[in-house]
Amino acid sequence: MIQAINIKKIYKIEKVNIAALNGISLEIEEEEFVSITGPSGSGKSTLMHIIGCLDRPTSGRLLLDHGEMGKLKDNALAEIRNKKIGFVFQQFNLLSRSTSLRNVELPLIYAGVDRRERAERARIALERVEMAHRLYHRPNELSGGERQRIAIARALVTNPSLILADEPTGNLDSKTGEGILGLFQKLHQEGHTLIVVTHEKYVSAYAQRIIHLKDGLIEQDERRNTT
Amino acid sequence: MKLTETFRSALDGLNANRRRSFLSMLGIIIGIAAVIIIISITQGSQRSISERIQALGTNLINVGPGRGGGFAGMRARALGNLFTLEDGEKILKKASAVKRVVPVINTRLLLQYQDRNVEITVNGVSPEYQEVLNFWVEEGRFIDSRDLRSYRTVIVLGEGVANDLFEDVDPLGQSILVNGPSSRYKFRVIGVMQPKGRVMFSNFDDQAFIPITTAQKRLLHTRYVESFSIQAESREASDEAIEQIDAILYQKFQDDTKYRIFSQEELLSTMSSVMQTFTIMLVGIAGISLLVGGIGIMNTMLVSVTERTREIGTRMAVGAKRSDILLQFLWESMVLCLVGGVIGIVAGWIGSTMIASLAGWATVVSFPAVALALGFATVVGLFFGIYPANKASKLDPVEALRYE
Ligand SMILES: Nc1ncnc2c1ncn2[C@@H]1O[C@H](COP(=O)(O)OP(=O)(O)O)[C@@H](O)[C@H]1O
Ligand SMILES: [Mg+2]
Repeated sequence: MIQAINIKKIYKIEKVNIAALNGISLEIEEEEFVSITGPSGSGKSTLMHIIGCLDRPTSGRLLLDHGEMGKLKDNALAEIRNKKIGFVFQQFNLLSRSTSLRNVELPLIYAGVDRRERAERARIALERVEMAHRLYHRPNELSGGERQRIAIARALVTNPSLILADEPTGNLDSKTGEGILGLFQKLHQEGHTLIVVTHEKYVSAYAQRIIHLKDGLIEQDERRNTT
Repeated sequence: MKLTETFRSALDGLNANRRRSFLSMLGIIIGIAAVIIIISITQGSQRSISERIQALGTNLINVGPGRGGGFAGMRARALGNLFTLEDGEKILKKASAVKRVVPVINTRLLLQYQDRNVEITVNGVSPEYQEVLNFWVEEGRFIDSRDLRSYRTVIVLGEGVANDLFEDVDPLGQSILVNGPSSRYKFRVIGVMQPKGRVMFSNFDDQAFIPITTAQKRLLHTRYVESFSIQAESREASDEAIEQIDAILYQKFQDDTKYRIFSQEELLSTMSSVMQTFTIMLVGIAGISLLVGGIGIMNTMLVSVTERTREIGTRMAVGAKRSDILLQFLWESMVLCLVGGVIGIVAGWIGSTMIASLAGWATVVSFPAVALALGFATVVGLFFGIYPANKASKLDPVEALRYE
């Protein structure tokens, strides 16, 4: 479902070119659980942003479900992000003044779903992340792990074909982090395609496939069977 | 995304920082309140002025001493040594468009009744005064031609004067002392006028009326009169009457700066054009305060966009289009301005009601004024909201998400 062909991303800072991605080609199939690892600054986030249509590559092609993303205008990309992709960030990025329910509803609002259905679907998503008892809490009334679960519910709520998580456990202690990863595993078993960025060893242990980045290039692409 | 949802997001955003939202509204509130108050004051006062001027008398023309004439003219004016009773008779006889002529002398005199006294304007007039000024006696009778012929010491009191001097006593038939510049006379009260109130600069209730001949011969020892109040045959005949009067007076004085003729119409149109200029000027000033208010709102919105950069990035990541972000922030500034506008209208309404009750005219908070104010607020909200909203919508999603 994802095809990346020789993707490069070059940042220009004061006439100096910084290559964040140096030519990445990869294919990811539906229902895969991929972990991306690599040292800090190796281009993991940049790759995630490009796969997630938040950013455009400097050169190279990206195809999602055989559709060429480079040709699309900003509005079309926004629609793809809304319908096909769910993002989970290290910093959770919840709206601090809004309740869990409202936070999870957010993508549905932009999808134009009406109020009643929105609340219903947000509730279901919150149930799936075991947060049905925290519908009306605001982020500052929740623990880190709980916040990340809300953020995951937000990523799930539109039933996207792809969930991208950029260091989702980076701000959590390892026990809470394991809970979150367990949740990802469950989502994977339910049929979601997941790409999770991390550089922690125990995190990658869950994945079927580990892609290791270094200096904006794929250093290793390892597939294995999980139990 | 639906319009109502962007609107709701905007409300959430404003709600998040209520105090700042309110403070940034202040400029708009003050500006709008000022617009409402100014418009209602000018409309209220204009209405009351024109009502009262019309009540002053129909087809009224005033003839008085002119501004010109150099030193001699000034002296003549000070002494009132310009017109005589004969001039009035001549006008009445020769000017066909003139219906009635009332010669007038007014002077400030001290009136005494027992231990009370008042200093008021006493008008020497002729019997036609009632018809010409549309101002009638309520009790007793007005001055008649026999009073004039024999210089009778009779006086008709304005309602306020009667109250001040007599309180509970019936003034009719009572004697009061009138102190002239060099002599003092006993006058008999023969009538009390109906209440009329203030018209322009004089309060008719605080005046008294005596026969003009009595004023000339007994009190002031002069053969001149100060001015004429003249009634034209009809409203349409007004202009013609003015021309005829001018011809007669010019024949006598050979100098048209010595006398001045002005009609009710002229007075009205002068007043309303003065009011109009005044209104435009004041609304302009209020407009400037709205402008300043708008800049305040823009500033708040810019700060808000910067503060919420991450939120904007998040919204974009979950599928907000640039237009959604633009609308959300535009709504925010519009809501700020409109809420400020509504508060301003309420404040302006309260303010103008208070002013109106102090000034004694009916409050006029007109629909056009409210519509104008709301229109202003909307335009200000849109105009000053566009820049911050545009800035928000142009953010790069990745940069916005990274923003600390
Ligand atoms: N907006 C940017 N401007 C300049 N350089 C950037 C920008 N974003 C990322 N980079 C650079 O690109 C490289 C890859 O960054 P990133 O993808 O965030 O790495 P990772 O997520 O693996 O730590 C880094 O060297 C980083 O400094
Ligand atoms: Mg990163």
